[in-house]
Amino acid sequence: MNKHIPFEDWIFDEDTLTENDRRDLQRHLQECDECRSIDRRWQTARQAIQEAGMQAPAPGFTNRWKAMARRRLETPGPAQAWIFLAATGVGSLILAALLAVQTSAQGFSLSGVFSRSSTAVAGTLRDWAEASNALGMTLRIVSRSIPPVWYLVAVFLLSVLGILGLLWFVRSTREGKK
Amino acid sequence: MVEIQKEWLLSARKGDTDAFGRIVEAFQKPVYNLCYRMLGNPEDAEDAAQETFWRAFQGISRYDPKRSFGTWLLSIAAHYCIDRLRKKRLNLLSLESLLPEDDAPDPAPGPEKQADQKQGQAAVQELLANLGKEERAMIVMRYWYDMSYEEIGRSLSCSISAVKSRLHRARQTLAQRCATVHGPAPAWAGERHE
Repeated sequence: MNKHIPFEDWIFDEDTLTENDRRDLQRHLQECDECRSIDRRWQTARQAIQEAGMQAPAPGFTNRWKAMARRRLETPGPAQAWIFLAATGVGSLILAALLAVQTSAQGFSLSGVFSRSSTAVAGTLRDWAEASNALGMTLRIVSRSIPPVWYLVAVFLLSVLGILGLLWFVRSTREGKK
Repeated sequence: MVEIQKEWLLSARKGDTDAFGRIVEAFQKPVYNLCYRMLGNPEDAEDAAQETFWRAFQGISRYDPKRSFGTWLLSIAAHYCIDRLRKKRLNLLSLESLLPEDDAPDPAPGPEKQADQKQGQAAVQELLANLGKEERAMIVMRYWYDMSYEEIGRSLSCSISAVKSRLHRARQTLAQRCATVHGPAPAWAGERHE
């Protein structure tokens, strides 16, 4: 039988030993070099830990935290940037769908786009009135009613918004990491 | 552990950074110390302590006033440090990285004493570096903050029996790794934990 059992465990037990257990442990430690060596090592480690004390941060810690908090509060979080990017993406998809319907219905050419633009602008109000009467045809009517040049403007605006959203996202992610 | 005034907490809940700044002032040392003991160098400890307070500020509505505020903060700090260690795989720290030139400034004693203290701190950090992340957090919470097994378990999301057995194993590891004049550790002593 291992003569160190249960003393090898008792050396590290700080809570559950009875007075008798402690006496038995002390007796064993006096007789057993191996267990005594382990006990001394643990006592040395424990003493080193207890003497290590608390480390303090460099002066100005609170001011640094306040500055960081203010900076982070002023910068929108990644979640907001994600929502913005997602909204831009959905907008682009809707626009692409409308554009696809428009070009497939009318045949696409750049000169045709501009020539139709002027007449389509005039017809916009009429088309919108039709749209209100036929809810099921909304997509088709809307796509016809918007002059193609408006799509170009919308694509440009969405691209700008997308780039801004991307920059916003990158910035907020960097701030988050700081 | 430090106590805080209720009005600071109430104002901080409303997003008042100045009010929370008072809490930061009161708890900076215990939070920083835990981060330092966990991460092993002043730069990482500063970052982790700042982040801990930011997370606490953001999540202050989730704080249960029945619990000790200090224990709640230390729990955030410990989880953050464990995550950080996991990401960076900093289980083993080299002795050089534990001896920065601009160590944390406590009231400065003479150069000789300061050198001794630095050596002592490095030795302690070297010892702690032999422990796994969770065990290190448990040892720090137990011996630097006198936290009960229950508090440690609640802070690190594990059972009391798990805390007891892991602390036991951590003590064995510390004893085995402790460099003393008492000769090599017997073969039966605890294995090194990664």
